[in-house]
Amino acid sequence: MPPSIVVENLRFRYSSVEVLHGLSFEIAPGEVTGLLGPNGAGKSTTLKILTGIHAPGSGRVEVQGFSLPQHAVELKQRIGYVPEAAELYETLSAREFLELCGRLHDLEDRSLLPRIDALLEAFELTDHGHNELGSFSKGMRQKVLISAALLHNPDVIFLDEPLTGLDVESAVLVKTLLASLAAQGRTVLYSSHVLDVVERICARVLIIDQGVLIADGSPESLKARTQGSSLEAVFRDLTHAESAEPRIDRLLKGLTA
Amino acid sequence: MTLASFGAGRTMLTAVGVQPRQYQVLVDLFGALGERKELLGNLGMDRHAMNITSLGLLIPGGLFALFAFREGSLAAFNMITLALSSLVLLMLLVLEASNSFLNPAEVAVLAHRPITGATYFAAKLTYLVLVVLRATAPLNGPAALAGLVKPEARWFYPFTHLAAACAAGLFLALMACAVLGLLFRILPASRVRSAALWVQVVASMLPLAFNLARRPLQTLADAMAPRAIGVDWSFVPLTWFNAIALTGQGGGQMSWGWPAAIGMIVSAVFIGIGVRSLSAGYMTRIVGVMRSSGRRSRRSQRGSPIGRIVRTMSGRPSGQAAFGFMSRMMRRDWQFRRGIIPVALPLLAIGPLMLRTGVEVAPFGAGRFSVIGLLPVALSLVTLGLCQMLAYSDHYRGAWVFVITPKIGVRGFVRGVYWSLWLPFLALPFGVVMLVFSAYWGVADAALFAGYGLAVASLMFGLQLLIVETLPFTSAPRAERSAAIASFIMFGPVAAVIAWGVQGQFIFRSRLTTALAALVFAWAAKVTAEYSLRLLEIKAHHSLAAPSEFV
Repeated sequence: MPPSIVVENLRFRYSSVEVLHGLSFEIAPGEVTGLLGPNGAGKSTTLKILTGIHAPGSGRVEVQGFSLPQHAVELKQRIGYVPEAAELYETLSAREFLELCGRLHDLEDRSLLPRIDALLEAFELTDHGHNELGSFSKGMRQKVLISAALLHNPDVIFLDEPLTGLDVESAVLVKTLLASLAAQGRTVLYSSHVLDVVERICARVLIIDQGVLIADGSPESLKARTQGSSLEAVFRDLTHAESAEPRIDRLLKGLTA
Repeated sequence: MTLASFGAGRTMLTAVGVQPRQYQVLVDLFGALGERKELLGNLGMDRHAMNITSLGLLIPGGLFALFAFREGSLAAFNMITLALSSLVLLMLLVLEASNSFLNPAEVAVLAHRPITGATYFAAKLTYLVLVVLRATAPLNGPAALAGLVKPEARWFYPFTHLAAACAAGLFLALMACAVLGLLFRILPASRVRSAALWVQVVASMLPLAFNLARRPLQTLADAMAPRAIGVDWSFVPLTWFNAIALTGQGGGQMSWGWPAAIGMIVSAVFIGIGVRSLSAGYMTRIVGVMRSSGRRSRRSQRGSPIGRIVRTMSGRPSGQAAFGFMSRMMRRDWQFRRGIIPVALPLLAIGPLMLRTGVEVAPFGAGRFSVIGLLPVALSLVTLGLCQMLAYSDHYRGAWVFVITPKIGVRGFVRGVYWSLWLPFLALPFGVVMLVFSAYWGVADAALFAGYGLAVASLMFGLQLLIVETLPFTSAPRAERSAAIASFIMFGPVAAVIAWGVQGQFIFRSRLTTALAALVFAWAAKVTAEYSLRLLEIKAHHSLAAPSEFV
């Protein structure tokens, strides 16, 4: 079976700063892959390129057989994306926003409206469906974004810190849902800083640092490779993270100066 | 109702690569967001702002109609009114097109949706066309009716006149889009928004250019006066719309020759390339435009001498913080820059003209209406523009930092804001004026004029601060501002000329009256500024306490 996502020697720059330096990886259909990296490593940029929001600077990017940026519009029809920042139209209600997203994905009302009902119910938003998004809490906004990403039944789902602000019950729901979707053959690329969640739901982990892929494998294989006891230890080892104590010492000295 | 509402329209849309259903969804979305005041700075999507603008446009429209009572043919009358109304419309459309196609909020939400650039462009263009239609009626309606006084005009002249004006408006709308499209194609993403801003500046300075080009335009009008338009001029787009207006009227018709054909082909190619550049891959490239940032200065404000002066004048470190904040945000905030530059730059550009004409003799003396007397009024208009736009920003969510600022800090900050604007926008220009004119008028007259000007402008600035709703850059942009800016552009110069006349007649009649007036104005400026700043402090506390603004 051909890979769902192919990234080959991907480079990308914001103005004069190159943030991805020849990134390469492949993801098979039905795989739940975690994308890890410290702040500014290029995780969100990678997701934005894979979702057709940014055009790749150079290199080859293909998702579901659609090469980017040439077939960005066709690809967007087939993917779901939960962005890092909860950008929403504040004056639309949750229901209006989901209707908008569904119609932009060419869903007819007869299939769209029941899906919206099901999603609102699953995320316990039915009573808030007619409220303006501007009045929603962070977690509720996140639920709307996740609903919008799943509404059109996408083949590939990209999630950038999807559990931010979610209560425990909703977080469990999302994690279970992702596992079920993967079991149905959907590809999931999951970017997060919450390492234990990644460890629990992802069969494979990609770690990027300063725009370069530094590790690729299952959580177990990475742990074995670095002799780390947890994914957090692996992550710190691979990204050469300085231990917190000396930094805190320096900070406290600076604050009392 | 849109093109997607009927079969032929849907076929047409599909033929040009627009997805009819998505187009309809987007048109409905923009309409809903506009009505709910969420899409900012778009007249076409905000019925209330458009109504106010249309009402305001009746004034220039009425003035244009007066040309009908001057001698000259119907063709010349129509040419002049079309040229003038097109000028006003062009300013409006460049602003509108720029706001429509470079709006950050909606792009962030729609970027990962499967929308083609052509579909998005078509939906936006629909609202631009709406602006053309809504602005054309008040701008051209009075002239269309007044044209009936010309002997060559037939009973249906108002209809042909309006049809011509609408066609000219659509042509200008497409031209504005084409220019933006070429910017998209030629420039790197980080430069597009700045370049679009300069296009707005050029458009807002067109009345000045028009004034300078009066003679060639008169030649063009004269060339058409005795009979129909000569073939030699028919490559100018204005003559095509003139020909539409004169359809079926007496006095001869335009003869179409090869210059007209060349003009049309060049225009069509330009629009075609420009529009294609704008719409193709728009959804991907606009994200790059919004995300990119220009070069940033690494210079610290710690060393800025003006910052230290502001610190001293406001009496607190938060005053210096205000200077640092203001100077950076005024340079970097897109909402602010796009609002203030087209307003302030033309006003500042006429400064050197005033200096040149005012050199000869001091403006004091009965009946001496020197152009230099406009300087205090012009600077007051600049500060009025600043005060109108100061509170609003795309980055208003950052306002939470002021919520946790102690009261004493806000007080110093508010005073710092005042001095941060007063020093560069009022004190500095009048300081330069005093230095320059001392050499020509003598130190006493130059100091009197600069002192008077500074007092008047400071008084106006103190009063204008009353319209600032909260701390700078801490409020979400409001759609009503478009109407306010449009009225500012239209009525500002009229108010300036009235103020200048009153000043020349009653104050500059002698040095004594000028000195007395300067003292009174300076005292009033001090009182007003203190009151306005106290009020701004209170307003800031109230608005920052409203959590929905930025939480």
